[in-house]
Amino acid sequence: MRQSLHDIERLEAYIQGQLGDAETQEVQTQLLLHPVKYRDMLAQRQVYALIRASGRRQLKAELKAIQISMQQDPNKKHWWKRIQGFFID
Amino acid sequence: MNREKGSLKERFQQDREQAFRALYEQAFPAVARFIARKGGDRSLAEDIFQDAMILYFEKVVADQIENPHSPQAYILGIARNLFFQHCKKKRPRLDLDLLSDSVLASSEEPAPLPDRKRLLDYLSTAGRKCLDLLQAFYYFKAPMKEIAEEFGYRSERSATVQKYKCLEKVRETVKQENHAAIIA
Repeated sequence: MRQSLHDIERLEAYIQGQLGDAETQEVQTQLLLHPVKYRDMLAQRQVYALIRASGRRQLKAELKAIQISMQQDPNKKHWWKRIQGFFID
Repeated sequence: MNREKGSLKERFQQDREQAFRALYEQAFPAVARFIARKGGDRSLAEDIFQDAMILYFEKVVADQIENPHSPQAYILGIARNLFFQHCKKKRPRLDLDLLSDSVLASSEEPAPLPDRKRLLDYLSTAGRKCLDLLQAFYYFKAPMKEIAEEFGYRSERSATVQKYKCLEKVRETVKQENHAAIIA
């Protein structure tokens, strides 16, 4: 694995709090001394947030599809009728 | 207790759709009744329930739920919090991209991207394979062995290297986006 990928791996361990005290301090010193590395770290954290947003988007689509198929399932007729009953004034 | 937690996590990882269907059947009626009593409509109940299921899923696959004996009660608890947040913010609908863990526990959020939705849309097309690989590992917590098989890599090691390459590629896109936002 090339060095830049090792750096990403190490930053990941730092972001996830998996490094020991000495290594954490070492990474923090590097981040303070090198603005480029600091920007890399910030962007990497944003990537994890982006992956989570993308995963949530996918799950939401899956859950909507499940909802529709359960509404239409003849075996779930009573279940669905009960739910609809909650919203009748 | 751990055996039961493990089994739910395994069900999510082995057959997500089936696991969600079972939870839908068990937990949705209580959430729908709660939202109806609070004056919400069916569409809001569905939205809130789905978001609660997403947060519940994340907690289960990350081994963050201590007592998984009653998924229904846990999901209802999350749904109540989401509903009260919804009322407080007076949003017409929940914004999934903004949905955070704060409903369950405080967690440090990274700086939001200038235009997360646009970037997500871009990656969903231009970087689909990379995004799928990263999602499988970081979000769905699939074992690396399964990821290697699914994505056609010779070994777990090859899949791991590819994962970091993808991370690097997406990070570069994010950096460009940040840079463009500063210039604009």
